[in-house]
Amino acid sequence: MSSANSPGRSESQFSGQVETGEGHDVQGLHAPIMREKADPRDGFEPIPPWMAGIFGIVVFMGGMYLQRYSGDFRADIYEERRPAIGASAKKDQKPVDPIAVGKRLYATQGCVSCHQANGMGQAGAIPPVAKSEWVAGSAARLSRILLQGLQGDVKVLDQTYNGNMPAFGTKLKDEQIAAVLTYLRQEWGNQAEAITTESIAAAREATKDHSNAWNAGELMAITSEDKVAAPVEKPAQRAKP
Amino acid sequence: MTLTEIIWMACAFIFGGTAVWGLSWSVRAGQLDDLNGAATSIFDDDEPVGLRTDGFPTGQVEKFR
Amino acid sequence: MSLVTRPPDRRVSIDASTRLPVLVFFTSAVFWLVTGSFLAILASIKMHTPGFLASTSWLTFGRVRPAHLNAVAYGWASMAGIGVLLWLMARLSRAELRYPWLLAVAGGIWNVGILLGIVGILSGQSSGIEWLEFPPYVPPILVAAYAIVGVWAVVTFRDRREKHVYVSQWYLFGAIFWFPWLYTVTNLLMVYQPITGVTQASVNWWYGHNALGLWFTPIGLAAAYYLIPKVIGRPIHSYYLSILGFWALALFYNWNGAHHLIGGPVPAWLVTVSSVASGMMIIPVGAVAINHHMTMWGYFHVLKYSPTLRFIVFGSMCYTAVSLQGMSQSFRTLNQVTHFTHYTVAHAHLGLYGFFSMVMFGCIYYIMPRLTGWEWASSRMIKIHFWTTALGIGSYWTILTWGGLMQGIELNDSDLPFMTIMKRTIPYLWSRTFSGVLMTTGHLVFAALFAMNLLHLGERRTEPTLLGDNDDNVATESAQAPPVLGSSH
Ligand code: HEC
Repeated sequence: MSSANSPGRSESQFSGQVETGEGHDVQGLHAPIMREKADPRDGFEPIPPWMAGIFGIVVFMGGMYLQRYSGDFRADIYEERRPAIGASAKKDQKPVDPIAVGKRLYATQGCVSCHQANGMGQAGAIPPVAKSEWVAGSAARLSRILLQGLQGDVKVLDQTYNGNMPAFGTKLKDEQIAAVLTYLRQEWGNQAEAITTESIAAAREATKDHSNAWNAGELMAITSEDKVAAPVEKPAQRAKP
Repeated sequence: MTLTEIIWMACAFIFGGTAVWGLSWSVRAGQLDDLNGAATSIFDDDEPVGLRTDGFPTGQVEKFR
Repeated sequence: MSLVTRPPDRRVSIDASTRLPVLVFFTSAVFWLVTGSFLAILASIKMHTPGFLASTSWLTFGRVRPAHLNAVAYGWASMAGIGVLLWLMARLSRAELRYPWLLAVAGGIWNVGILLGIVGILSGQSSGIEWLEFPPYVPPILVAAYAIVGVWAVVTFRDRREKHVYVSQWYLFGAIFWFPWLYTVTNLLMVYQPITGVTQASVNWWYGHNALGLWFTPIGLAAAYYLIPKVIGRPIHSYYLSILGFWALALFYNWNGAHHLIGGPVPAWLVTVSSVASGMMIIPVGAVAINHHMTMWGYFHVLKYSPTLRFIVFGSMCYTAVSLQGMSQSFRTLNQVTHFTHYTVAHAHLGLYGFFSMVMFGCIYYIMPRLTGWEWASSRMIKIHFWTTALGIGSYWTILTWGGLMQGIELNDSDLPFMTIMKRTIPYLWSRTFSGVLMTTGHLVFAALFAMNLLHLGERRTEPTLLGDNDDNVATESAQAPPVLGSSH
C-alpha cells in the first residue's frame, strides 16, 4: 500500500503542472513494476506494417468504389452503375432491339392467345402468321391490318378464314407496331424486311379517316407503299436536367 | 437554403468541429506523448503490471501463471 | 513513464461513491433483461406458430416484437451500459462521484420512461418507427434522465485526478455525446416535426445503426479496454493502435446507416458513401481486434478462471466477427441476397447480444463484488450462465445466418412461390426459439446470482469466485476477515 504517497498529488494536479514525481519514493514505486519483467514493448507497439498495408489498400479501394458508384453525387441518380468515365449517358443506352420488343408485345398484347406461340393460329378460325403471305408481303397492307383491324373472308396459305382481327392503332405506338411486325416478319422462318417506325407513321397518316376494320378486298386494292416523309430535323434531345 | 437546413448544417459543423478540437487538444495536452505510461495508467500502485486483479487466490497465483 | 502515484485507497472510496447509482442501474438492467427475454420468446414462437396467444391484442406480434427490442435496447443494454459508464468514468478519472443519489434519481426516471414505453407499445401506441417505437410522450422522459447522467459523467471527468485520459475515456466520451445527439435529432425529425419522403428512411437508419455503433459499441469497447488489461495485469498491447481505432471509429461509423437502404429509392451516392464507410470500418475494428488479441496473447489460460475475462473476451471476439460480417453485408452483392431475411436478424443479435451484452455480463461480474462487498455465490451458476448464453447466441447466429442465406437465395428465384419459401424457414425459426429459451435460462440464473449478491445471500466467501475452483472449498466467515468493500483481491 502506498497511500502515503497520495498527499501532494492533488495539489500538482490542480495547478495543472506536469507530474514530475519529485519527492516521491521512486524506488518504492518501481519495485512492483520491476518485480515482473513485463514485455517492455507493451503499450507503444507501433502499427504492424502489414496492417498499415491493409489499411492503405482498403482506403484506396474505398476511393475507387466511391468514384465508380457515387452517381456524380447527384440527388437525381438512383442507379449506382453508370457508364465508364468519359462516356456520355446517351451513348451508353443500347439501341433497342425491335425483335426483343416485338416478342414481348406479341406475348403481352394478346397476339399469342389468338395466333399462338408457334404463329400457327387456330385451324379454321385464326389464320397463321408464320409463313403467311400477308406478313411477308406489302408493308402498307400489313400496317393497316394492325392499325384498324381486319374482318371478313381472308385467304391465308390457301385457307379461307372469317374472323375479327382487333385494331391496335389506338393501343400501340408507332414504334411498338413496327416492332411487333418486324418480329412477325423475322420469326418462325419468316424472312422479310424490317418495318420502320416511319412507315407506320406514314400509314397512320394516310388512313386517319379510315376508322373501320379493313376487309381483304379493300387491302388488295392498295398497290403502292406509303410515302415516307423525308426525316425532318429531330426535336432537340431531352434537355439536360 | 431553408432556415432549417442552415440550422442542421450549423449543428453538423459544430459537431465535427468538436471532434477536431478534441483531437488537437489531445495532442496539445500531451496525451499522446507517453504511450507506455498511458497504457499502464489504469493500474493502481498495489496492482502493478504482472498482477492479476480479477481476484486470484493468493496461494494459486503461481499455478495460473 | 511519468511518475504518478495511484493510491489504492482512493479506489475504495471511488467504488463506494458509485455504489448507489450503479446498483440502481444494474438492478433495473437485469429486470429489463429478464422481461425482454420473455417478450423475445413470445415473439419468436409467433414466427413459427402464428396462432400462439394471438387473440389478445396486447400480445400480438406487431406489439411484442417492438416491446422486446425496446426492453432490451433501452432497458437492459442502455441501463447496464450507463452503470458501467458511470463506474468506469469515476475509476478512470480517479474521482468520486458527487451527489450519487442524483444519478440514482436519473435511474428511476429512466425506468419510468421504459415502463411507460413498453406498456405504451403493448397497448398499441407504438410510433411504428424502427428503434423509436416508444410513444411520443416517452422520449422527453428518457432525455431528462439522460441529461443528468451525461452532465454527471462530464462533471466527474472535470474532477479528475488522473492526468492521462485513457482510451476507454475517449470511447466513453464518444458515447456520452453521441447518444443525446442521435436520440434528440432523430426524435425531432421523425416524431415531433416529421420530415417527409425517403429522407425519413435515411434518418431512421442513421439512428438505428448509430445507436449500435456510437452508443453501445463505445461503451462495450471502453469496458474491454479497461477490464482485459486490468484482469490479466498487463497493459494493452499497443496504446497507439487503440487511439487510432478510436478516431477511425469516430470518423467512419456515423456514415454507415444508409447501407440499410441498399436497393431502396435513395440517391445512389448516399448508399455508396455508406458502403465505403462500412468498408473503412476495417481500420477501427482491425485495430481493436489485433490489440485485444495481442494483449491476451500468452494469457488465454486465464479464461479458464476469470468469469469477467471469459465473458469480455467472448464479447470482443463477437465484436470482430459482427463487424466483419456487417462490412460484407454492406456491399450490394451480398446484400441482394440477405436483405429482408433472417440473416440480418442474426447479425443484429451477434452485435447487441454476442458482443455488447456479453461484455456487460463480464463487467457486472467484475464490478458487483466491489460495490456490494460480497463475492458471487456460486461459480457453478456462473458457468451455467456462461455456457447457456454462449451456446445460445452461437446456435442462434449459426442457424439464422444459414437459414437467412437459404431464404435469400430462394427469394431471388422468381419461380418459387412465396409461401413455399416461408414454410421452408419454419425449422430454422423453431431452432431460434430453442436458442432463445437457452439464453433466457442463462438470464434467469444470472438474475438469481445477481439477487443473491445484492442481498448478501449464500455463504460468505473471502476470496473471489473463480471458475476453476469448485463450490465446495468455500472459505467460511470464521476463517478470515471479510473482504473490505471495494478492496482489490
Ligand atoms: C382476338 C384474336 C386476335 C388477336 C388478339 C390478334 N389477332 Fe391477328 N387475326 C385474328 C383473326 C381472326 C384474323 C383474320 C381476320 C379475318 O378473318 O378477316 C387475324 C389476322 C391477322 C393477320 C393477317 C393474316 C395473317 O395471318 O397473316 C396478321 C398479320 C395478324 N392478325 C397479326 C396480329 C398481331 C401482330 C396481333 C397482336 C398485336 C394480332 N394479330 C392479334 C385474330 C386475332
